[in-house]
Amino acid sequence: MHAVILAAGAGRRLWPLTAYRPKPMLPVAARPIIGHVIETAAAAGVNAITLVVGYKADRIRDYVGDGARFDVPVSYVEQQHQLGTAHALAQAVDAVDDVFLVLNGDQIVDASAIAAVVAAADQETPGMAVTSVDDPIAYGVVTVTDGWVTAIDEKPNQTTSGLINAGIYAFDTTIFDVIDGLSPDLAGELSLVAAISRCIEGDGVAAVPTSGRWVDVTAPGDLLTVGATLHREPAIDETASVDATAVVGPGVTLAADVRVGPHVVLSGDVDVGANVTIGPQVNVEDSVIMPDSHIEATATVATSVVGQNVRIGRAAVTVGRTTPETDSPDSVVVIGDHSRIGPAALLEAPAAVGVDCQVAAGAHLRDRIGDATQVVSR
Amino acid sequence: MCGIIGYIGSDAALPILTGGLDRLSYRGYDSAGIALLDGDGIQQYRASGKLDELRAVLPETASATIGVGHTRWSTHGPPTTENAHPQFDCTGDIAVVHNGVISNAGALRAELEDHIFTSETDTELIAHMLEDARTAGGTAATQIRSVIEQLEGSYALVIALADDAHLYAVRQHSPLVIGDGSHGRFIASDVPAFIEHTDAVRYLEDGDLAVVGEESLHIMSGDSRVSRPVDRVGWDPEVAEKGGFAHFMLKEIIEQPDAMRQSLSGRVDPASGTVNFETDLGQLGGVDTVVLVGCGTSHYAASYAATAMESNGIHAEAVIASEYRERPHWDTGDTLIIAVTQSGETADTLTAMRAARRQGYRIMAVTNTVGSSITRLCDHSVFIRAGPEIGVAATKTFSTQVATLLLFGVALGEVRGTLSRTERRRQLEAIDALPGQLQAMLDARAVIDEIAAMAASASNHVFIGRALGLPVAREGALKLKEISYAHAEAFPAGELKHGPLALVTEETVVYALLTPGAEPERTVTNVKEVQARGATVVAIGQPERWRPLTEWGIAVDASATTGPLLSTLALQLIAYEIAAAAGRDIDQPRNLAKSVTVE
Repeated sequence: MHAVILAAGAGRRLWPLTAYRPKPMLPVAARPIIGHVIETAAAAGVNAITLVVGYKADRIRDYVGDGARFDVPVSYVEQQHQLGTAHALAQAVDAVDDVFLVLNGDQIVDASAIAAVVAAADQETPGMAVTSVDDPIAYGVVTVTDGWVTAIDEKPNQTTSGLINAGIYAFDTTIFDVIDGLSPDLAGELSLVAAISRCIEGDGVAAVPTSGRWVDVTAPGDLLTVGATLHREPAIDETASVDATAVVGPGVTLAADVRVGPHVVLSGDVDVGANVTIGPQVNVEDSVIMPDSHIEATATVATSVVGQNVRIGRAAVTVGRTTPETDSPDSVVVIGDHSRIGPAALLEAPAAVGVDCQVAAGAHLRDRIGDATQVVSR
Repeated sequence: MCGIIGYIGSDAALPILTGGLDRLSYRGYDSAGIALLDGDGIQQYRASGKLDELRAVLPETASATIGVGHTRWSTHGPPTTENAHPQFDCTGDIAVVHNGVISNAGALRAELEDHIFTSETDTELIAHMLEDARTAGGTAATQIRSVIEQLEGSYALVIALADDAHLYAVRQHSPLVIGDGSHGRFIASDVPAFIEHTDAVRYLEDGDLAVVGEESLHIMSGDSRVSRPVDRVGWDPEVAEKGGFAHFMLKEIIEQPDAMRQSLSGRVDPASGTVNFETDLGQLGGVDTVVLVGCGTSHYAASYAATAMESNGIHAEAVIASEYRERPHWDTGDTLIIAVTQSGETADTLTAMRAARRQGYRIMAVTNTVGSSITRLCDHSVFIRAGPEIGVAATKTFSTQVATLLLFGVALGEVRGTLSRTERRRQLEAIDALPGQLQAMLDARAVIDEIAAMAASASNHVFIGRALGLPVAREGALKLKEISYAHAEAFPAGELKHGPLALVTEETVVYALLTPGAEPERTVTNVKEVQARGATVVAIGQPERWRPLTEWGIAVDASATTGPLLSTLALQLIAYEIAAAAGRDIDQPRNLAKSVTVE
């Protein structure tokens, strides 16, 4: 079945990590979210994909290409202006015919959930996957009666339903007529939820119950936990080189060409992107380091998200907060792409450094620093 | 450059041939043709212009399971239908497709008075010579052998005969490969032509004549039968797709961080200051002088490397391949000659290197193409590992060529003892930082696009630089002129006042390389010279350097070793945007070919 994957949004809540990449390109287990999404869709029987791209589209094109690495052909349509999810889908009108799936490019769901919607699509369209979560209030809550969706409510104040919209839809081409008939909402956008609501008022929307993992990244700190949620075997790429004296814990993923120096300790859930250099005696714990970054000798990176091509100077410390009872990240330090952190600087949560920043040696930061800022000293 | 595809097997040949021609089209062409062999003999289809013109004369389907196709890049005669290949004898029973040049064509043609020639090509005479040879009896292979023994020059040939269920393939100084598929065999000038069908490839050697059947393959070299082993090529067929980008060139510009990571992978160890090429490069201890031979973009990559090697204490010079001459002052005992060629098939470079080999020099290749002619000619080869490059304008292969040569320079400096460990570490750290810095420059693309929009209307583009900035200025000018057709020239910054300054007007945009490694403090004077003549200056370098000079600056954060190299990415994007705005055929510029396999 053909799937349309929506990957045009900017994901501004994830600044500074989305300054130079769209949200689907954020790394989970050392590879972009969109990679997980496509892989899962292919495993669930999707055999052709159209990606709707917009914000920083070249990053997605560069990574996904024509889909060869996922063994599924990928084509592209562009959403020039980000005017809502239904507007995004409408860009794919010429790419699909008959019945097709719609997925979000920034949510990792279980293959079984996609397969369930694929199976249901043969019986009834439109249909949407629903799943139960512990805290439905934060999501699109749905009410289901006799297998039909009877209401959909984005982020309600209260609810009696434990079911949410899992973000997997089956449509036929009549959905484009529905979208054509929508009026922009208060934000000036055409949303897929509004289109679904129209369908509920019309011929109905089938609810497809699903279970299994459902991963959404809404804040930089989520990147530290979702990798573990995927239950993916941590892996050391064969081209990574790890000094014999380094200690690499069981939850560590090292991508291609990572270099780990002598007496380094990597512990907890650590995802290190391609071509990262970790100098001698560095400590990294529960952190994500994106490709091409360089952590110099004796630095400490804990509960932090380090962007691409970042340099963290000698003996610098970036340390987020964890909740003692659960040992889960509470507040992380985030450093944007291409930034330079000087030697012996101290960055404490909730410090967030934008892209292209320079933080001077010995600076002490606990707050948010905008893009392209020079921090002389604090 | 001309492209050849042949197929013999159990599937319909037509879609395989048209697909192959599509994939060969990146080589550049101006006419094309197909011959299909069926029960009624040879059916011929040819057209001048793009492949769509050929499609217009092709049938929708055809039952033939044997056929040859060709894309022609004109050398002998204009791009007309008559000059398109296949070329035929008088009877139409012999079809020949050819890549290369027959240098004694005039003399041979004079001996074929009683034949009727319909084209101006040197290829057609091969068909007529074979027509005569066929009357002599013997096998088709011996008849073909008797013809090619008379040919001088370079040629890759595929020949189809109306009464024979084989294809005949001949290679002499022009590339030709055979693919073994599950439903038949493929013959092509380049692997991408058939890689969607098979990755099992045999590389023919000069002098080989292959008799290719669906089930059988006989390869002869002279009178003896030889075997050419099957290589598995690593390139995925889908790699050659644009993946949603408007042009291959843009795709290849944007994938440079990846290509650079892949190119450097496993070779750089900044911590120890060592370089590990995975292949043995022989004894480098005795190398005192390095001569880098290449053409076009590869020559500029070679010039960059030569300048860098010189400052590392190694005698080095870059020579344009077609200008390669025997130099008595190079000592064969301590001189290493390095061929720099993306395709490994560049005729000028191959000719120069054959001469170098005859003269007794040690020769080495730096190329992107495993199994290419240059790798079989040279003692040692280093691959730049950039992945296939389809756009005619070289982009990612320039940056990875330079990086690979810089690594080689560091390795040589270590062996020769001219570079301290500290200096090697410094340079290797700089090279190792390239992938991230390339990404940083791509992320700053909005600034570059604004500059391109400003510069698009200029009537003159002048690129200036010094030291490592000079080859980059030249590469920037080449990129812009080859894809946008705008007038673009590069000069050593200090040379401006000795003549070229007369070209500079208010309609001129001057691109100044002001990065470390390009002697920016000296070029600043030249920037002021052109500004005084009203030119608009685009400066690339550290912001504190250009902020006082111009509003059109591009920030580069890099070392003296790599700063100018990084700047190339900005110049590539500017050239691309200017050409795109002008609606140019960016991946296949007029008159140009990707791999220039004629001299």
